[in-house]
Amino acid sequence: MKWKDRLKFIRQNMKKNRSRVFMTVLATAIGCGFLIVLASVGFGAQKYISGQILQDRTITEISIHGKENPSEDERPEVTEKDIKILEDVENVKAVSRKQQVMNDTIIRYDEFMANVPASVVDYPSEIKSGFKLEKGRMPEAENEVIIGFHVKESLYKAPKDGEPIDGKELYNNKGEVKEEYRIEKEQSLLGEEVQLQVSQWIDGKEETKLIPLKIVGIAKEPSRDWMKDNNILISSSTLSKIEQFTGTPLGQAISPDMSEEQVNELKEGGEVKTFSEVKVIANSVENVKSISKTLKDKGYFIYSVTEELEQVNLVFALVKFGLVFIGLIALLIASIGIYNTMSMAVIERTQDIGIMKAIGGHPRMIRNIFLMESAYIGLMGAIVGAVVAYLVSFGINSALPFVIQQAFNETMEQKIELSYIPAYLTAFCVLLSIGVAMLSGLKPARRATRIDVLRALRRDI
Amino acid sequence: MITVTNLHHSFFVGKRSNRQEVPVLQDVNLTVDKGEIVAVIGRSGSGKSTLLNLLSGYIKPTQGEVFIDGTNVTNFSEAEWADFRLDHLGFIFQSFQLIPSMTAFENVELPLMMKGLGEKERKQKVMEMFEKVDLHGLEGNYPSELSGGQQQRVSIARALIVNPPIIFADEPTGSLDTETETELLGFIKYLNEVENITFVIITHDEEVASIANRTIRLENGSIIEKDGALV
Repeated sequence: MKWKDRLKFIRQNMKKNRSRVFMTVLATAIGCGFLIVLASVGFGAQKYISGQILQDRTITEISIHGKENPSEDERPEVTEKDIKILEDVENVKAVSRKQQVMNDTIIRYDEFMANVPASVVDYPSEIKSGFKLEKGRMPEAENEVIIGFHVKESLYKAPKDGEPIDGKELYNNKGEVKEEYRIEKEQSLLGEEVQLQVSQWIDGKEETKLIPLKIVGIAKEPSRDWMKDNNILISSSTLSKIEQFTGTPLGQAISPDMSEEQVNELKEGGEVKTFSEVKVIANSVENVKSISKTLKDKGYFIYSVTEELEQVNLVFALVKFGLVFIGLIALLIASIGIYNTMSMAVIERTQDIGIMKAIGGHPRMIRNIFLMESAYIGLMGAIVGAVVAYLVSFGINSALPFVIQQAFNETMEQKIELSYIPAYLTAFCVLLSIGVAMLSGLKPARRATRIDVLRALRRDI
Repeated sequence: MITVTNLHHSFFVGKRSNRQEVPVLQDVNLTVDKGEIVAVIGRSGSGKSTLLNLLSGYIKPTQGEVFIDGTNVTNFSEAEWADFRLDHLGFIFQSFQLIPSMTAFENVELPLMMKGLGEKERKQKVMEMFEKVDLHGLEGNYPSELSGGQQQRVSIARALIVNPPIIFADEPTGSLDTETETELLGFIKYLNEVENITFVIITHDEEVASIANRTIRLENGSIIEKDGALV
């Protein structure tokens, strides 16, 4: 019998007892819908937590936080020698490193100024790591710099008398520089000459030095709205000028209350170049694990977001398993309904089955017709259940801000998807419903094939 | 066409520890040639229906062999019997055995559907068959909307639709009035003579047996008379 004819046959049979079939489909729909909604809460929570972990980091990034057991002639921090080792590890795309200037660096432009953290980076590595410019170009000359996207916003009009301005006077309640102190919006800093101010206590007196620089590039805006990039990226030659002035490595500021011993210690620390921030970028997510292992074996302290994600995913896998298990109970209850419906169908159609067998109906065909009928009920229930689950999920997510507002009197700044239904969850639940329905129909279907022709024809069953 | 040798069939009654054999057919030997109408007659309980059930594969013989159309069907599995019935045998039952929830058309179409024929081909064959059995216009009627004679014609149409070389008829006129019975017997004779279909008819009615080329009389599970001669 062709599939099309079987389907026609099944539809005809199902029409014979519409209310019973409807109730069975309803039970399956409730089971499937319940399963999807429950699991969707697990998926939603996992997505939210993973999103929080990943929001300011790249998944292929491994942070290096020094060495575990450095030998006597080694330093615990990451040095140039270590960078070479890190770059040589297999599947490493780039090693992004930063030397942070340890001074109260201030940028000055005309009458405007701003406190900006200054760092030295290796531009080729940064480009490989995904660093992008919003405007301009990468520095070529020693005095050329790149500024962060928000540096212009943080510039404020310096008071003429040199007295510091009170924070309340300078910033509005959003933490932005007030209109009257701000630089004009239309004013572009690209190509402009600025001065980087560093300070140091020399012979009991605070001295300042202005280093002229030229802005040639503006870094791309950070992907997250709340992130502010106020950094300035300088060249290593500019750092040398700073170090020359301060007399300390990385321009570290000397505090007036430091002892002579402490000052000498600070000054001597700069023989070996160390990095304050080192990130190893893997060429693909799949390689993060193997690179992490290699680095750990080499004695580095590392942190990778994938490690954290793995733990989070493990926890959520258990949560989802629990939720799916509860949902499965509903589906199993529905399967009892399917079993009952199919058993009744076999009993009611005993004579028909007997006639079919008597004139040449193959047992396999009869079994398949009943199995298909069970699957059909499962499919219809699953489709209805999935549609209802999507509606419920939409309802939960839409009502969440209102519920939080009413219950906790708090507003949600960020949209949270408490219930998230990935396509594969729907597909899995639909297939599971069909599978459970077919399993429920298996015994009645087998019973149908075993019907004795003579007894059926005599209406003896 | 059909050869039965040394056929025995028994029912077993009682529990396993105290099982008793009740013989229903004993040492039955017969042959049916192509294009014959053979009537198996006997009183109620003589074993004639059991013989037909054995020939149809609805039950298995205790002993002996059955050959149909050159094939030894004695040890066929249920699945093998299903395929064999669909290709070689047609059935006419006393109580018509039509599926009540299907129309006359759908009942006749069913064997073609089981054979996997396309919808268009099926429709054409069924409509031709309705013309042949003189039921044109009643295709959409359900069995309950047809008379006994019409239902038996639908049953014959269903048996003929796959062009089987052999038709087994179990008391085909048992539920019909005399007029319809005569009409039906005429139709069976016509099918035998014109289309050369072999018929094995089980009946207790001597008038039905009169259309047969040969008769076999059963009594207490044994053949006591073949073609008018005592065995």
